[in-house]
Amino acid sequence: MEEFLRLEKIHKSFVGVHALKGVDFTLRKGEIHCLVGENGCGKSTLIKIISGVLQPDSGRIVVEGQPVASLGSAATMARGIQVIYQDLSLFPNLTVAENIAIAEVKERGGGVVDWDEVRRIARAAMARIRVDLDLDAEVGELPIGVQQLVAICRALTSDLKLLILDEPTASLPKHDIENLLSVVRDLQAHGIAVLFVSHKLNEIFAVAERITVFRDGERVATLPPNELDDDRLVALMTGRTLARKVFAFADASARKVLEVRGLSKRNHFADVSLELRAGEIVGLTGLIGSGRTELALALFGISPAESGEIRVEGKPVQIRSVQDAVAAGIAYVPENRLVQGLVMKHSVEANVTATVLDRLLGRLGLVDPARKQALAREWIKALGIKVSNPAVPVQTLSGGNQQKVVIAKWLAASPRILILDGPTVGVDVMAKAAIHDYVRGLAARGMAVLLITDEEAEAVANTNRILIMRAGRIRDEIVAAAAEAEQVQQLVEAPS
Amino acid sequence: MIPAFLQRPSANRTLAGVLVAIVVLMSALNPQRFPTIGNLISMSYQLPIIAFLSLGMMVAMVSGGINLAIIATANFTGIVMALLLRAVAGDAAEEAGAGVALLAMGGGLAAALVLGAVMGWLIAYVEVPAILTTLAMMTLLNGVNLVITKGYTLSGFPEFLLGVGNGMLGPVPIPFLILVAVVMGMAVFLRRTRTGLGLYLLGSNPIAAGYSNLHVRAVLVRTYALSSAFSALTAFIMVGQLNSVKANYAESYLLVSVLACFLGGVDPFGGTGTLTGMVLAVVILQVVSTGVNLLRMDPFFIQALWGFIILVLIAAGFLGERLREVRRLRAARLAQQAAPGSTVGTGP
Repeated sequence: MEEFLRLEKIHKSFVGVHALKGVDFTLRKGEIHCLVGENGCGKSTLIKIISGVLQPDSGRIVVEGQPVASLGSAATMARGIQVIYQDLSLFPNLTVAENIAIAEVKERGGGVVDWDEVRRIARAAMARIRVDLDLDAEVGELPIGVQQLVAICRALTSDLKLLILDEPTASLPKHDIENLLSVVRDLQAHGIAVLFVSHKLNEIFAVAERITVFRDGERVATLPPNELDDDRLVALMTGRTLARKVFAFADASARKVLEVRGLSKRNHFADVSLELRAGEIVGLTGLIGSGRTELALALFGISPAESGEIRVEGKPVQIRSVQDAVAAGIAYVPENRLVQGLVMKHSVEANVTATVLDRLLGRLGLVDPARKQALAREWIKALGIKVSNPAVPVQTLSGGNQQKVVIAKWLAASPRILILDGPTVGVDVMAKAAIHDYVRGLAARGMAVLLITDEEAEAVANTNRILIMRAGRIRDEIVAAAAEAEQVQQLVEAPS
Repeated sequence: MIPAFLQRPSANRTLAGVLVAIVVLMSALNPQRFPTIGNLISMSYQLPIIAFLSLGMMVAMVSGGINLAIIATANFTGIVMALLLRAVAGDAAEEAGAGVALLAMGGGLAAALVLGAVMGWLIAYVEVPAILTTLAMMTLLNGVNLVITKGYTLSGFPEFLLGVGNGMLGPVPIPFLILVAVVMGMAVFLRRTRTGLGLYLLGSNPIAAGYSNLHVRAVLVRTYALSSAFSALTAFIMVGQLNSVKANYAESYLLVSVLACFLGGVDPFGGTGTLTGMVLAVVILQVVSTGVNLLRMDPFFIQALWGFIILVLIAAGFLGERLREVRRLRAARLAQQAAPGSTVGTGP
C-alpha cells in the first residue's frame, strides 16, 4: 500500500526531557494504525508533531512523497490531517449543524452566513459515515458518544486524508465504543487513514491493521495484530512481562460483611440482593443504565435506596448519607475520578486526608498538620504513588497515579467494604496491574471488595464471582474461574 | 480566571515587594507627612474596616461563591444594635454601661449570624446561586435599613461601644488589636479545622468534596454565617468610629473588598487564596488610599488614581511572572547544553 506520511529520525526534547529519540514512523494511505504505550512514552508528542502543534528539533517529515519543512497547524489541515483530542474541542452552546460546518463556512469567507449551506454541509458530512443526528440539537446536551460523532463529522467537511483520534474511547460506554469502531472502519472504506491512540487492548486488536508500540520516546515495534497478543503487547509497552494470575478466594466460609436484601429505588434498580464475604472480590457488571452505578451510589449514601435492607457485619444499618456509609465502613472509589474523586487543584496530601480529617485532631480539637502529612506519606508509600512530595497538586500526576490517590484516600478511612467503580479506566497497563495487585492484597487481608467494571476480562481475572445486572436487577451470577470474558459479555448484552 | 502569578506562593512575595515599593514611593512624595508615627497610627486605625469586609468576602469566594450583602449586613447589624440600646436604655443609651453595650453587640452579632445562615441555607440546600442569593439579601436589607431608619442617621452610643472602634491601648488603636487577634484566629480556622480545610476542598470541587465524607451543605451554611460575622465585626468598629449608624454607610467598600480578594490571590471560582495574601492586599490598598489622601489631591482624582495604581500593580505582577518564566526556560536550556549527553527518561 502507498505511503501517506513518513517521519524520519524525529527528535524532540522539552526542558530536560528527551520526549522522542530519533523516531522513524510510516503511515499508509487508508490504514487503521494504532498507537500504544504507557503514559509519557512519547506518543502524544508524536501526534502533536504530525498535527503541527509542535515542531521537531530535528528529523524529516514527508507527506505524500513530498518533504515538508515543518507542519504548522494550518498547513496540516490543508494537507488533510485532522486530530480529535479527548476533549473534542466542540462548541457546547452551538447546534450540531453549526459545529460541523463552522470551519468550512469560515474557510469560504464572505460576510453573511448561508444557513441552508450550513445544513447542507452538515448533512453531507453525516452521510459519509452513515449517521443521522438532529441538526438543531445543542451539542452540550448530547451524550459524549454522539458529541464524538459530531467532531468526526466536522473533520470530514474538509478533504480528510488522515484522522488522528486521541484516546477516543476513554470516556465512552460500551455500546458507543462499538459504534465508533464501525465509524472508523467506514472512514477507512473512504480511503481515509486513521491513527488511533488507546489504552484498551481489546479495541486495538479489534480495529487495527498495524500496531506501533512506543516506550521511553522510542518506537519499539510496528506489527500487524495477528503477530501480537495481550501479553506480548504489554511486554513491549513496559519492557517486562507481567505474571497474570487468576484471583482465588481462599475461604468460602468467611463471615458475611455485607448483606443486601431487596434493595430498590424507583427507575434505577429493583429487588437487589447480594452478599459480600470478608476477603472476597465480587464483580458487578452491566451496561450503562443497568443500575450498577446507581446501586453503588445507594450503598454509599449519595442517592439512597427507597426500600430494602442493608446489613453490615450482621447488623442492620440505615444509609441515608455519605456520612452514614462511612460510619458503616463502606468506601466508594467513584467512576469519574476527575469530577467525583479528586480535587485536582489541591495537593496529594489534601486529597488523601480529606476523608479522615476527623481522625487527625490533636490538641483543642484542631487538625494536627504533622500527623496529616505523615498519613499522606504513609499512603503514598503504600500504594507506590509516584510524586516527589505530598504538597504536589494532584492535577500534575499521571492518570494511574491519580487513581491511586483516590484509592488511597478511601483506604485511609479504613473501610470494611470497598466499592470500586471502574478503577482502571484510562489507566496505563503497569498502573492497572499495580492496582489489581493491591486490591487482591486488600482482599487477602480481609477486605470485602465489590468491583464494578465495563471490562469483562478485568472481572474474570480479578474476582471470584461476577454479578450481572440488566434493567435494574441482578439477573445472573457466575463463577469467575469457570467463565470466559465472551460469555460474560453475552450475559451483559442479553435481552432482559 | 485569576492570573497564575497570584495563585503561586511566590505571589505573596511579589505582593510584599509591591507593598515596600509603594511605601517608599509615598514616603518620597510626601516625606513630611507620610512616614510618620502619627500616620502609621492613623492607618492602623482605618485598616480594620476594610480588612474585616475583605476577609468576609474572602471566605465566601473561597467556597466558590460571593457575598454581596456584606455591607448591607454590617449596616443592618449597626441598626439592630442602636434599636436594642434604645429598647433597653431608652434615652439614656449614651450613659449605658458595658453590660448593656455587650448585650447590644451580642444581639447585633446574632442578627448577622442568622442572616448569614439564611443565605448559606438558600445557597446550600435550595441551590440558589450565591450571587443571586446575596444580591437579593443586599437589596432586601438596604430596603429594610431605610425603612427602619427612615433615612436618618441614628446616633448616641455608650462609651464602651465607642471604645471598641475608637479607643487606644497606649499608642495602638483597639480596632487594630482586634484585627490582629481575628487574623490569628482565621489562620487557625483555615489551616487547622475541618470546616476550614473543607472550605477549600468544596470551593475547588464540591462534588468530589461531597464524595469525600465532607458535609458540603453544612460547611456552606457555616461559611456564610462566618462571612456575616465579619459584617458584624465591621459594624462594631464603624459604630465607634462614626458614633452613628445609617442605612447606607460604606457602600463603596463592597467593590473594594472584592478587589482586595482579587489582589490577594483568591480565585473567584473558589478553592484557592491565602490569608497572608489577603493581609498584604488590604494593607496595600490602605497605604495607597492614605498616601494619596495625604497628597491633598482632588477626591475625584484620587479615585481615578486608585484605579490606575491597581492596574499598574496587576500589569507589573504579570510582567514579573513572564520574566521569571523566561529566565527559568533560559536556565534550563543552558543546563541542558552544558550536559548534552544527559537526558532524563520519561518512563520507569
